[in-house]
Amino acid sequence: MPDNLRSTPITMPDEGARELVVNMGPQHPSTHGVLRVKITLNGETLEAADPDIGYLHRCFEKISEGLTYPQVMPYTDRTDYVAAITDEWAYALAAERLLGVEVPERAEYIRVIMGEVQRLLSHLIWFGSFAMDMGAVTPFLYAWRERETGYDFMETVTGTRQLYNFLRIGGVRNDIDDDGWQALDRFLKAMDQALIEYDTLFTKNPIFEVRAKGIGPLSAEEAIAFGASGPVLRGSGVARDLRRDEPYSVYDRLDFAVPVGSSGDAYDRYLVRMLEMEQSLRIIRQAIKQIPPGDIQGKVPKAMKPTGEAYARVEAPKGEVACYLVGNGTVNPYRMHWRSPCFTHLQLLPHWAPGNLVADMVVLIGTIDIILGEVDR
Amino acid sequence: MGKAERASAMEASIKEQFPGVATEITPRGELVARVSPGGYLDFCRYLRDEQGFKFLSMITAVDYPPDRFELVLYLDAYGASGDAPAMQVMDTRTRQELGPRSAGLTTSQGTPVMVAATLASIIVKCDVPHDHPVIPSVTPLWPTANWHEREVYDLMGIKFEGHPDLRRILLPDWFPGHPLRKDFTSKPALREPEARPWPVVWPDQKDGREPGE
Repeated sequence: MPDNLRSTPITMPDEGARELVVNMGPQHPSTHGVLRVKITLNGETLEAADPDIGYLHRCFEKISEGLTYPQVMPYTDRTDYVAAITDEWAYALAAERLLGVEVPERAEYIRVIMGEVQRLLSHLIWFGSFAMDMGAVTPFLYAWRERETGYDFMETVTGTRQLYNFLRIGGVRNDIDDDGWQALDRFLKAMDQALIEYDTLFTKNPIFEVRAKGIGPLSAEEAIAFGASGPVLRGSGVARDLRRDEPYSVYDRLDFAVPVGSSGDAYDRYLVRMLEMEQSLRIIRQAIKQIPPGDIQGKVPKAMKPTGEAYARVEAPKGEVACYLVGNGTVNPYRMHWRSPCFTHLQLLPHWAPGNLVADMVVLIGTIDIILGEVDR
Repeated sequence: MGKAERASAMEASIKEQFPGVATEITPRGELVARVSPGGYLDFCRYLRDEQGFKFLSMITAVDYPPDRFELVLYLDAYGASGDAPAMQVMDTRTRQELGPRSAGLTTSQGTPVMVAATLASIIVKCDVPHDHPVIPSVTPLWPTANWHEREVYDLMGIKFEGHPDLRRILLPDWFPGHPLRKDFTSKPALREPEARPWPVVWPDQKDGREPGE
């Protein structure tokens, strides 16, 4: 951060100086949910941060042990509730691997289209709220405008706006009809325009640059050691994307680039997410051209009683979402574990906090794009 | 060299170094290694330092009553490699130079800091006995293990020796028991008044019934 653009932080005088412990949250607008961060302050400089999570914990993993395999699907929506499709996808993939179910091609393409629209929607929410966190209200309103056309598409296809319960083990619930294709077309056209608008409005904004550049730096080695994935890892310059790296579904037939940052700060992570949105648009357009006619539901066994285990992961908007599923020959999963990227990324807060200002804490929380439903599960 | 061949080469070198470790390869080319609690930490250090497993995806545990827990680690080795899949990479630096007119313009073959493809994945399994559920912590090897181990401790009750900050993470500190154990039932534990962190007394409660009962 350039020094001349920031006033000198207020620190406590040495005499009688003491640390001040402040609760940020659980009901703080910048924590995007119910996250409590216990911060230790010297004046307005952070000395330590200790995230306290679990406010939304419902032991989803224990609940799953009492459900049958198809019944788990709606619960996965509630983990990352702004990107429900990719969560369903991780579970569907794990269950399909466990059961040995084949998914028809058309269903795979529908999953790709829905998944990428979901990525755009998730990044739009992130873009709007990240700008809002830093005091810029206008981008939030713009992002919400495009998000609405996106949710129109989701609603036309799935019937709901956020928690879809759309994927099935071995396929998807329903096909995209004519209304759906038209809504998708409207959304894509709106996004093309909008991305240029966001860029003009925000990317080069000097206040934003001052707030985001150099905040929360993360080297490539650190990012890997801290288990970072998704835009956080790529912002640090590690070109890893599960869609290309461990191709699932039909991603190996689609052409897209992997955006990578160089300095690994909040600004680079912003650029990575914005560029990812362009790539998602590219993927959707290719998928629309390639989608074949056919079935949308594969053959699944009548009684789902698998044995063995499966670990499936997908590239969700936040990072690597994975599901570890163990079957013991009954209709219920014996054990189900959910690997959540936000949970892993939140460990970076104590790593980043020392030396930053309180106002930067808001940027740090925003830059990892947390959803507390996923952190707490 | 594909993932499966790499896995079998790795299996051979593990067999040589650690004869006591049982290994197998899954149909998806992942290596599965079973270690004893005694050799767990050394084996993990070997994987990180010698075999390049720098990325820890998750740690979890499965309860197999009556005698054992199975601790499960999923690790990835990735890094630049000659036979990594060709990857079209877009550098944000290009974008910064181009300025605010990016749509459809920015794709370029940049030079990223690190192109990382998954070279190999390994699932490490370690049986932890029920009567003494203690295992060394791998947090010194992978900082990300910190919270994953706290979660396993919280929900499964396995203690990690040498962990810097072993507290409950998702549940409150007073919570009785570890819910992901198969013998856990929530109702009696929370219904018993002495298990509650503070007594609930309603002023108009006359007949000893709970409100809402």
